Amino acid sequence: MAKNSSPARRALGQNALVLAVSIVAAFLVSMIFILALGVSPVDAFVSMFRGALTRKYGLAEVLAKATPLIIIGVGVALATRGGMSNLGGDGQFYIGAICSICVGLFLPPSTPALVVWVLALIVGILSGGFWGGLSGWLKAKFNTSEVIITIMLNYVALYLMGWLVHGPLQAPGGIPQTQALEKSFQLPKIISGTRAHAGIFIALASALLVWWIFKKTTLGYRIQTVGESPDAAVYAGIKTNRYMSLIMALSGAFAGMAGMVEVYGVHYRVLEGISSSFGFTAMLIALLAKLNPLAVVIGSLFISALTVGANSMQIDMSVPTSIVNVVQSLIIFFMLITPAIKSDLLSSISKKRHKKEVA
Amino acid sequence: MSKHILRMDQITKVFGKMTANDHVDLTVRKGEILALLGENGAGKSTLMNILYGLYKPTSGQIYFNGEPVSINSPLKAIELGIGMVHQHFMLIPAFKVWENVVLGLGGRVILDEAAAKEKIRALASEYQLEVDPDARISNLPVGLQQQVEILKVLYRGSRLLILDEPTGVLTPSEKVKLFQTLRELTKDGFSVIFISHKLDEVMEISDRVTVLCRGKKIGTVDTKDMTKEKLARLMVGRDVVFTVEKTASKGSQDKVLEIQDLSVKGRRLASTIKHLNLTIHAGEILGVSGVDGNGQSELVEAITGLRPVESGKVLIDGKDMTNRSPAEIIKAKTALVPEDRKKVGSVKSYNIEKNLILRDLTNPAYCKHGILNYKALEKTADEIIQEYDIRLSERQSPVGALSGGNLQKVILAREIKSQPRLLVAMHPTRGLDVGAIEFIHKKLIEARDAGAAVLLVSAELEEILSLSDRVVVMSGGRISGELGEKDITMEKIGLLMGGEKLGGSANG
Repeated sequence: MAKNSSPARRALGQNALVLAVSIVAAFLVSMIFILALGVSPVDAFVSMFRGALTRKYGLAEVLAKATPLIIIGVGVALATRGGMSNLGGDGQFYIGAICSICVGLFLPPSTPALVVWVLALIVGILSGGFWGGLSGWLKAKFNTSEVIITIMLNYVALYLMGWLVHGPLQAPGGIPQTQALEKSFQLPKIISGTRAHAGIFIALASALLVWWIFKKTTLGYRIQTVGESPDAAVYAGIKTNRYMSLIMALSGAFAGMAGMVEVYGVHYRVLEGISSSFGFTAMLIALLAKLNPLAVVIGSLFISALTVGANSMQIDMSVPTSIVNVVQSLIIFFMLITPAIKSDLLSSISKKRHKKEVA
Repeated sequence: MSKHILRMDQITKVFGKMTANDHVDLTVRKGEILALLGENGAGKSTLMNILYGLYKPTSGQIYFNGEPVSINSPLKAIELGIGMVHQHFMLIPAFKVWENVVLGLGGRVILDEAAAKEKIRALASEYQLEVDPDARISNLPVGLQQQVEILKVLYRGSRLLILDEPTGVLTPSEKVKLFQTLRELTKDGFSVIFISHKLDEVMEISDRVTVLCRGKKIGTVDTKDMTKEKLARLMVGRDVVFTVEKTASKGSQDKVLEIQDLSVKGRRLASTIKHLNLTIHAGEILGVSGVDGNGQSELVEAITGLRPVESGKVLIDGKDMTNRSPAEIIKAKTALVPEDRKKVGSVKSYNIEKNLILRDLTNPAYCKHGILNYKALEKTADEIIQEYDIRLSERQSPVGALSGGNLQKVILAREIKSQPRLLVAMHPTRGLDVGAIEFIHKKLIEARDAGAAVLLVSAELEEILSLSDRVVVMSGGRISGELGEKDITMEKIGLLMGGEKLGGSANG
């Protein structure tokens, strides 16, 4: 028996190694693109690093950007573990944002902030959960693909929001946005003068909650069983149809919650373009994190740092921020091919060794 | 010229710390059927994968037709004239027979369809294979699919055929047909390696037997000098009891399962259940025999809530459980050892603990208020591993890494630990080795003696004969006959399987 190396721990170590190799490789390859722009890659990366991690403003920005990604990301991880694909993070986010801002807009300004936040959070969770659960219910009832339904519902939510901010909820002044929240209703900043707000704690709590659900609870066990083996789940007496709706509703609830947090923490109003495709970025992060909720936190911080760093790189070195997309895509690319390369490499090494032995 | 077509000399294969083959010798004569016998995990598959070029031996030498050869890929094996019929067929269901046969042969850009079909027809008629080159694989029954696999091997000009557990999926008549084909082939000088752990078959078909045990060769013997018991002893390394020790059922009048006039729509017409009646008492084993696909699966699914009942009633312990959910039926103390232990009976990525609570999530010993108590589970798992002698390389390994016998023990342990009133076991020993079968039989009888009513569905007549207190035979979705303990014989069951009535009209 190897000492204290359970299969799970070994897998974790391997995943971490693959990820590290992928990130390094991605940066190396993206150097070519930066070189092609006539900029020294070293200078570019130094600027990136400085921008994201050495200044107060940069760090705060990383936290602010990571907040919605973490919340949506753990929801995506939950759905995927349950065998469902939630590509509707954006739509659920919009719905959560719209519904939760109404709480702040329509309650009298004298309402205690805590009451507003709790109510808004609940509304965000319920509305996002409804939007997500819809696709799960349709799948259970009519065997429709949740992939397609969630993507289509993104558009429904997007245009619903567009109509609201151009119409019924539009603030005076002609700009397509809602009125701003009362100052007292805004989530407190954790670093003054920046955009980093208390929502990060909600994000961390979400990640811990999902981690705990899968680690300790029968709910997590059931969700995972439905995802791993639907036949075994039926045999186990789990009502898999009901779980499809539940899983998607829970996943949507997190995205809806992210909508609330983003509105109350950053924008204080709903406006078009409030989500810069958080849903898809969160999906990518959940996959990078191998569906581990705690790793989603790290992944979100990392991707946010890349984005923030890229902004400073653009300002300092005039390297376009889209280089970040290149890096992100390359990481995924290398993550997918590394295991294949590794096993190939191993077998060729063992072949060589074998030949030596024979000779 | 050598009389041996194949000689494997001192083959050793080491995987990490495990030695799968330890200096194994094996020879195959021209025109003989050599059975390769051994329990699961004895190293049969490893040895054959080496022969077929899938694994490289750590040491040892292979001679084919007297020449030393190095087989480093299946392509090379095929080139030499070694063909393999895998346990799980390697056919593309959407393709036609002839397309499957020529698949992978390579060479030309344009296929000569007519020539290929001609050659297939010639081969088929020569060996009485009922294969139509234009039939689509997905439309063929399993027996014919296997014939296609054999044809594929012959088409490639193989002289040595390796058949890996070829009878596992066949009906009795398909098996007879396969054995005919094999005898036909050996008459024409083909050689066959027949991998199996079924002693009856080995006794019936082989000329010689090579026995492997834990990676080592125990010996090679002429089949005609052997008996089943002797072979079993060689294979397991100890005496094996074939007739399970079992006292007579206590004959309780306590009806645990009562099925009244049950009709269930089946996957096929033959398996649709029509007006079926059945009763099992506490402390007895009712064997349900019959050719697969005559409604046994549907019956089990209807009882356990996995398939809707069209009409009639299912009573468990006197309570009407017709069309209740699987969860409710589990609560009514019904345990199920399902047909498919990998996909249904267990979750392969979970370790033993997590598999133990698969159907026991409401048990307060392991979970309170929706929170799982892994400590308590771990203790139970340790006990079960002890009691059931479950062998695993690592305690926390996912059960996907377990052998079939060990996995089935985990499932059986879980179901028996729930102290069921009704225990439904479907093909509980299919594909398992002698040691595991013996153990599982013992546990089933223990469950019966503890007062459970046991419904045993099996296609293995021997299993039915040795375990059942009563037997019903299913044919075409109906019960074609029932036999009390004193009437249970192989012949009677065989007749009923074909749907005949016993003691019928005198004019026959």
